Amino acid sequence: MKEYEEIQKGCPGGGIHSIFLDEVNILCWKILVAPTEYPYNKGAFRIHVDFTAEYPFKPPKLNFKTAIYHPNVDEKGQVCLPLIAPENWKPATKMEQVLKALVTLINEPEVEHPLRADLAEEYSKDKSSFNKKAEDQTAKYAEKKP
Amino acid sequence: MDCNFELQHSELDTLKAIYGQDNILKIIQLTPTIRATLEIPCHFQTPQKIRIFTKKYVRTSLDSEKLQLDFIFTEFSLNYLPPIILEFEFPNNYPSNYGPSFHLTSKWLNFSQLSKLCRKLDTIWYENRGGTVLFDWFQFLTNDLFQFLDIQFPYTLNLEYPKESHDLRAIQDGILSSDLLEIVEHFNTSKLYEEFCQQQHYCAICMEYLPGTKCLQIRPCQHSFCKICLSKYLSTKIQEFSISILQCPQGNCNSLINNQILSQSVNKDLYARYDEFLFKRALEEMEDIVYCPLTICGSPSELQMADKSMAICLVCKYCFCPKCRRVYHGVSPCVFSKDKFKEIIQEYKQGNSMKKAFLERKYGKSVLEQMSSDIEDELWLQKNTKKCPKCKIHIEKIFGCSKVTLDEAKPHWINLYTESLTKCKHRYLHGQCKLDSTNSPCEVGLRSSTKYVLSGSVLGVWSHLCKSLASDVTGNFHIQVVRIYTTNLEREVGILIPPGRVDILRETLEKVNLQACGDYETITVTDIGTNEMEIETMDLQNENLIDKPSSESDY
Ligand SMILES: [Zn+2]
Ligand SMILES: [Zn+2]
Ligand SMILES: [Zn+2]
Ligand SMILES: [Zn+2]
Ligand SMILES: [Zn+2]
Ligand SMILES: [Zn+2]
Repeated sequence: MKEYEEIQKGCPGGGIHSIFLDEVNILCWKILVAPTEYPYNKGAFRIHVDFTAEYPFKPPKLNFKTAIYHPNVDEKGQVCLPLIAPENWKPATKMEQVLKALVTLINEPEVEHPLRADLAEEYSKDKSSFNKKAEDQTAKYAEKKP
Repeated sequence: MDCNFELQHSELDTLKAIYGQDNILKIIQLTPTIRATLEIPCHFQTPQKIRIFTKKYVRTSLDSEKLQLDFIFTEFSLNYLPPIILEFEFPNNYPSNYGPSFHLTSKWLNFSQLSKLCRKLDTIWYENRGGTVLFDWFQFLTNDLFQFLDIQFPYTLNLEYPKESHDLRAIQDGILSSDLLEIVEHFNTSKLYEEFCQQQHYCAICMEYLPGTKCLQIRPCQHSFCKICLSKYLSTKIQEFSISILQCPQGNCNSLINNQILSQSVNKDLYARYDEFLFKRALEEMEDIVYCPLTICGSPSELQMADKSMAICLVCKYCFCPKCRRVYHGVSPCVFSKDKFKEIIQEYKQGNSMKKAFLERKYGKSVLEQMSSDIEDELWLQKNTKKCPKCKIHIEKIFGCSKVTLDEAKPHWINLYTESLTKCKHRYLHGQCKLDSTNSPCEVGLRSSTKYVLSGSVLGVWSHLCKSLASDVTGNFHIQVVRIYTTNLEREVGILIPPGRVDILRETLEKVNLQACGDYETITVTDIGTNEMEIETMDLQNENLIDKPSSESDY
């Protein structure tokens, strides 16, 4: 896949520490994201990017394999990223942009459109409690930063 | 002579070698003299602003008859202007004695400018006389033209009428600025397309570089993609369960996919499906909804006030004018000009369903409809008042509406025509007339009226006549002698009898019992307000519509 080569060459940085390609299945990228902002900066999160056969005409799907305490990621690891919503998807959008948007979302939760309303409420009303729990969970589940 | 011949041919060969491929040089004939054209290209590396004024007569105001000359100003950014054409012919003694004879033709330079160029070409020849000159001419026209004519951008094209002072070799091809507008725009577009086809373009979807012939460019954003990717993208989007408005595949680009691109990219079925979707969407869309002009918002906004001159965004509460899409300006006039109006309405009417949906979204359906009916009214008035100012007044007063088509008006006119045979204008319009109760019938607006004329040898009954005519309250009367034509085209001279006196006179004459001393001739006239009785009675011959009053003659 041409995009994979480019993204490796381009060295996107900004928190996307490494991208591991599952050689068996080119339609699934396994990536490790290490956020820079508190309270998620203590670890790295494993995310799977699943491409359909129609990619890039249909958007890819993102899935958190590492549990994360975040208003926009649900318990199953599904993430709500407007850029890859089917109605917003543009085929000229590159994975680099998608991943950058993902990192931004992790660092700055979007409480207006949460997947977990309870976390969103806590985030806006009791930030310190939220931060504490997020930090604890990161320490508990997240992988070591590479 | 031989030397000239050789020089001419070698010059032509040189020109062919340099300008032969690009269609710049076109040879018309080689014998007996060499004739050819050179097309001088006008290409700007960066787009330049060109302005064109088109003239139009508009009415100064709705109820005024005055027409005013109005200038419409159009500005484009162009990369190409149509070439200037230098047609030349070598005389036998060129280059030894004479320069080439030539014509300089342009669609956008005017007579004066071309004349100036002709004189400059003469000068160039004069400075190099004896040598071949075409290459120098071409170089001058290609490189120094704008500087020489002192043309600066934005430049307003200005065609003019020919004058005697103009050089006869200068040909300004065309005079109508509206034509010019079309020519200039079309030339630029087709040249840009040609250019596009010759270049390589990067398709951001498949990430390949491809020749322009395999790509399509979306307007106005000018993003281009390969035909295969675009076709796949658009087909996928249309086949999706929740179909949505098609936009440029570039992220963050809101350009809509126009019909032209769509028809080249998807099959007929999908095309029809999308068209249907747009149509339904336009129907479903509430009429009184426009979209917030704030780019960060863009939410539905509700139209307010009876004339829909204000809209309020449901989300951000921004209050704006739906026409100019700026902040609400109350009663102060909208900067949105009538011409802009017309442009949009035209676009709206001629546009496909997608364009329509887009404009409806931007301005609101009811605002567009109101604008369009305003314009139609104005056009209608313009058209009709030009022909007959009176008709306009009539129609407006009777039907109280400025929009009446020919078919709508016809029955009313027919009705008026029929009724006007027996009813005066007052009875026709109001059902009654002030004179109804009196003896003398009202003739205002009547198409037909009856006159009674006493003719023959009236002298024998003169005294009776005076008695019966004068026996009204006032005691005085006027005798009016008239000349008439009867229905069988006989000419008669007689005395006009007022309608109220006819019965009395008839009685008197019967009593007198005189034989054949007088004739009553009854005539009808087709129209009121004309004094030419002779002509009007002639018309009767064919007027079967009009009841012929019973004969009052033979006394
Ligand atoms: Zn492509
Ligand atoms: Zn675009
Ligand atoms: Zn708004
Ligand atoms: Zn306005
Ligand atoms: Zn008239
Ligand atoms: Zn009357």
